[in-house]
Amino acid sequence: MEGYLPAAHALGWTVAAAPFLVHSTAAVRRATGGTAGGRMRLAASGAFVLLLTSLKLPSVAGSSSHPTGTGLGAVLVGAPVMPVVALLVLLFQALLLAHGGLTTLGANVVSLGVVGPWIAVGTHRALRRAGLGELLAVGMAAAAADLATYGTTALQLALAFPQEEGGIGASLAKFLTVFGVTQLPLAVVEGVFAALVWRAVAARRAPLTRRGLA
Amino acid sequence: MAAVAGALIVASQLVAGDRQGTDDAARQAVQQVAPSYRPWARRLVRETAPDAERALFILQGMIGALVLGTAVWRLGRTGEADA
Repeated sequence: MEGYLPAAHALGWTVAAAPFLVHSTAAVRRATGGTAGGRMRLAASGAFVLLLTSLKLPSVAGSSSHPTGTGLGAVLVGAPVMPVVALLVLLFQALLLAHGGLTTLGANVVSLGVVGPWIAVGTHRALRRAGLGELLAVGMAAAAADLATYGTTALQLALAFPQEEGGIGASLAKFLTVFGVTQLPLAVVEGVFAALVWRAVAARRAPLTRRGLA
Repeated sequence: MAAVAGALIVASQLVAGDRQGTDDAARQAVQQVAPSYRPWARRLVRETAPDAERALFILQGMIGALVLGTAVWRLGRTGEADA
């Protein structure tokens, strides 16, 4: 996607991502400077993103896509940590695999590292307050993060390329269709993976308190 | 868990094969919405050959699975006394 966001948009999203990355660096420092458990949860969260974004899953539409993995991490260690985790994974894929791109890095950090994780935290909190079980809440939070990430990407492209007829709304509908067909089933798969990993962590009797949300 | 994850990573790369990815779909959609748009930057990194790309994705996933497995195992082993 190198150069596919107009330069002004690429710059704008990079500026928008910058304060989240600065805040995230401090959150990572807090997490790594705390207890061994905090460090392990951070490692698990980052590793889950690395693992899930490496999965290339076929969709019913005949294309393929990747889950995001940031929802579980956001619930496990807090959304503020995730921009740095997202940046590292995006750099790995941009520099080694020519996926994503360096000019779209800011936009991708916002969608993958900011919007997705905060949607996950919000969904998880709302579902727990509504009385849903932890496992189901985690799974649905992860699925919501996945959809929110790709929804944000669709919005970013729609803002950059409004259609002559229908403007940003028509363009958003088109990009949402492009991503939605592929991503809806993947969000379900991601929710199941996240719930399984959560259960594995719970089975090791680790306290599953959310950290770093301040 | 790491073994299951490893098998899943390899299987996903083999099953998905050379299907069109999200980047390609987005690029096509941009060209449909704005046919006159030309990307203003080129890739700094050359596109990886399909087999090498598959291998790198598998490597990335294996690293993730290994770290995830180790972290979950250590969380249980240490008893996680960080309340």
